[in-house]
Amino acid sequence: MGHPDEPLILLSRITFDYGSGPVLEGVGIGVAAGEIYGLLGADGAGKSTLLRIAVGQLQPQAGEARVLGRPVTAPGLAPGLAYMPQGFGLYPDLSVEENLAFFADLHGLAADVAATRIRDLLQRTGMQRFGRRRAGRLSGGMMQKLALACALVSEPRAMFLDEPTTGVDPVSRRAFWQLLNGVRAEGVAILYATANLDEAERCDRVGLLEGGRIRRQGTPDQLARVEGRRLFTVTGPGVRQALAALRRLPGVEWVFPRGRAAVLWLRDGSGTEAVRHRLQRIAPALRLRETVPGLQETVLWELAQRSRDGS
Amino acid sequence: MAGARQGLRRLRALLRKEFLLLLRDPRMRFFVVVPPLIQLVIFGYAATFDVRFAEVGVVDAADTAASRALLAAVAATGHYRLQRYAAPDDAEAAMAAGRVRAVLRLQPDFAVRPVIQLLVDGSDSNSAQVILGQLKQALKRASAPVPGPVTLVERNWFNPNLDDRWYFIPGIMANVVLIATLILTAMSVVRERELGTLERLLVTPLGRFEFVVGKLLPVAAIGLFDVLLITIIAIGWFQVPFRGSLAMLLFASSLYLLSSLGIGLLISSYAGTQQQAMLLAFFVIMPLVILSGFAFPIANMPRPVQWLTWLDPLRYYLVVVRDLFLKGSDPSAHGFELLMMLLLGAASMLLSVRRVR
Repeated sequence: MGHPDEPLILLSRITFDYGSGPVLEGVGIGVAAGEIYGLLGADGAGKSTLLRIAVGQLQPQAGEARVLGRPVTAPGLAPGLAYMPQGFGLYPDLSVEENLAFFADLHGLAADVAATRIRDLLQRTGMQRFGRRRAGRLSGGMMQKLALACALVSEPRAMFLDEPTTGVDPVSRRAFWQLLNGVRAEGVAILYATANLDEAERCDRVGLLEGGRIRRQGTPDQLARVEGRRLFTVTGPGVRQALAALRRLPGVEWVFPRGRAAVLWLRDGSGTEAVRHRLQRIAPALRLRETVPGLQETVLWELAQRSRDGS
Repeated sequence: MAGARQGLRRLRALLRKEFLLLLRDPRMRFFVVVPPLIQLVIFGYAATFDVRFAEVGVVDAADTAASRALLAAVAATGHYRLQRYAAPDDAEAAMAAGRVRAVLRLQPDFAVRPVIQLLVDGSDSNSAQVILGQLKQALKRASAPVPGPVTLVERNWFNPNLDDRWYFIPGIMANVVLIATLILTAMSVVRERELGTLERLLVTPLGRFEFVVGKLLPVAAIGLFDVLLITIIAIGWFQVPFRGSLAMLLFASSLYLLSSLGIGLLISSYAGTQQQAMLLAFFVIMPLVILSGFAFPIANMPRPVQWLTWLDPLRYYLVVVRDLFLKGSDPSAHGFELLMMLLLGAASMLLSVRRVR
């Protein structure tokens, strides 16, 4: 067993290579009980590979994966662990209840315990009326809830979710997150892979996985702050036509359109008044106001910076 | 003890799930019953070397009572439709055009020199040989008995009328069972991979052995069901005799299924999608069928190819099944075939279980 203070999920210096160049290089992540850690990265960043290493489906060339205080050496050997792969991982020809009962049986739950657990999960997910419906006939949002319920049937202490809300509408996504927050409140450690910035903002901590490395990690607020930069929003008629002119303003680092506005990153000490003055000359109706940066603005800016620098 | 009990529970859960999926998926239900029946009926009628209703050209230059009687006797066999031609050139042109498959020429002096020229269309060599043999037999029977001290009495054991169907239908059963079970196994595992359920299963306490057994047992049951179904139809519809023991048939089929399931599992470990699994399955099935001796005698194959046939489980199963149907041989007569099926089955199973991760 590990140290009492050891996070329930601990990935240390993980390096992995499929044979065509490194996918992961020295990745380290710790997820404590009752915490959702968002593993944020673009498609192909190595998120699924890292999750597969964490559940023992792949062996890293270097580093160690430990879950619930034990090294993960092979699949099927870590009780208290649940994994929800991409694409839900359900049997479409089995009913909702049969899917749940199957996973309950595999985890060795006694029949009465399984029945109670299944009833409880159906209630929590709002699927009581759909127990006999085949999984293949559920909506995307319902399938996603069922997939989560199948992962929860064994009452895991550590969960690994691989982009579980892909292809699901926003309402279902919100309902899914409500469920997930309930699971977090029960003290489950959750490693949540996503390419979606909205979802990353809902996590307790986020690690930005890029080029096989965790570039930055911290709370969404910490990640949103950029040392020496401030975020402004420009609104008013003609803002989209003014984008090129905005890019030439002094101290402006990056400009990107958002709806009927433009968002721009300004270097500290650039003189907001000077910018505002220049803005009036571009188009008198344009307004400039400082905005609290969110993860979206920061991550998009950082990725653009790195892409420009070629790093 | 508790571990074994838990293992059995997991296995039972997996078996229940497999049967539910097999029975609920309409494509699977169809695949288990309909293609074997269609194949049996089509092959049962089509897979025959007998030549029936062949068009035969006749140039009867003699046109005597004896020659007419002889040709009438040939026509009476029911296997040939005789087309009369006045000149040999017309008959030859008809054969070149494919309107007749053979030509019988009787010379004007047939009454004094009973020589018949038999021309056969060799472009279809197989049929040509069969027509040649059958016509010779028919002509022999139709001719007046040869006077002499020796009379040859021919009799064919086990298949008195040399009915091709009696030979082919047990072989078709072996092929159908191979195709159905090999493809079902491969598809069933690959489908888990496509659905993403395999990844989920790997993070449960389900062991590799339990997974493999849980996957294979339902397919084995389907294989044995197909054996019984085809046996019933072979006996009831095609009138093929079954002279052996049913228990022996099921035992030999079980050994045979070890190989087909093992190969199916092996294919599933290489295939990423169901399409790939299907393609790989056909790549494997074709050589297995050709090398089995089902259609082409192994003795006619070049020596290195004959050695390859030793690795073909279908080769051994064919021998056992044909003997069980037609000869009703003693089980001890097939010790070698059963042993080879066991060895090949065990080898393919070991190889595939090692590959399944």
